[in-house]
Amino acid sequence: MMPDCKTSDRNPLIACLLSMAATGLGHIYCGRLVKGLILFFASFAFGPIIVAAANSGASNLMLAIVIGSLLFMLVLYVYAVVDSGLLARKLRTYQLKDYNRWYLYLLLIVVAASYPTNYAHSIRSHVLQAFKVPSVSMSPGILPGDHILLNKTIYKTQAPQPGEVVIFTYPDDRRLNYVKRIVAMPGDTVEIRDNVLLVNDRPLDVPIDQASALDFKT
Amino acid sequence: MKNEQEKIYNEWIRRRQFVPVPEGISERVMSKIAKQPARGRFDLPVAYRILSSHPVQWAAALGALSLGLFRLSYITTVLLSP
Repeated sequence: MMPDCKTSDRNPLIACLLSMAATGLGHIYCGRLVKGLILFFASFAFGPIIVAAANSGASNLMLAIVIGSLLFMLVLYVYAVVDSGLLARKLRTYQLKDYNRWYLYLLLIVVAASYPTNYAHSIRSHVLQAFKVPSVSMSPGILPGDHILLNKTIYKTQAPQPGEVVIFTYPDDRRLNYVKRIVAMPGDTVEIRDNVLLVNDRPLDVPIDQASALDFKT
Repeated sequence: MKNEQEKIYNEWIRRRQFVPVPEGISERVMSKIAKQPARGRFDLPVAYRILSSHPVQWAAALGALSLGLFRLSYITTVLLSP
């Protein structure tokens, strides 16, 4: 007695299209469930990588990590599309699996379309945000037009210190963000006398040429 | 009351016989009515032929490609634009 199994050809074009819509879905369409799921979840890896890097305090590496994560996503995307197309071309007769269902494909496409974009917004709100400096108030350490990548997680584990450059929301207008250097802590006395900045009656001397070498934190 | 309605109906039928109608009108009308259900019916082979046609395949490919690229560019914009 013949076993009850449905067979179907695998169309390379459909495999490529599914991989374009959701990374790894083309492999699932071709019966490579594990590889497909690995590719699918790997395409979301940029989020946890960025969050982990931000929490580890690697502020100076943040830009490289963000760009690296995005490039990784792009490479993964191209690889998944090409590989699923080649895989579908190799398969002559394919025995349909339980998971070869159109509604599962649709579900993965919806997740792939919505989850990373929401995650990116969440990262922007709570972890990392890019700014462009419009004014000369921090010149020459920070010039107008400079781009700053802000790590919002730093001060969850440590207190701000004098000398650090921070970005904060202007209290009188919550739409504005200011970038300034901390010169004193709560309880300190700050005074400007004869164009000299005094903190607790002692002149504060931060060489201008060292300003840009300091860490930028929020 | 019922007799009144029946009378009106019979009168209408009688007068209708004097209205000049073109030859074979009933057959023409009926053939049109017979064709109508075919218009709204979902024909699977026809749908398959349309979906597997080259323009639709190209449109689907471009749609999926743009969906994937849009996702990447959107994430990049959210993370790196001021």
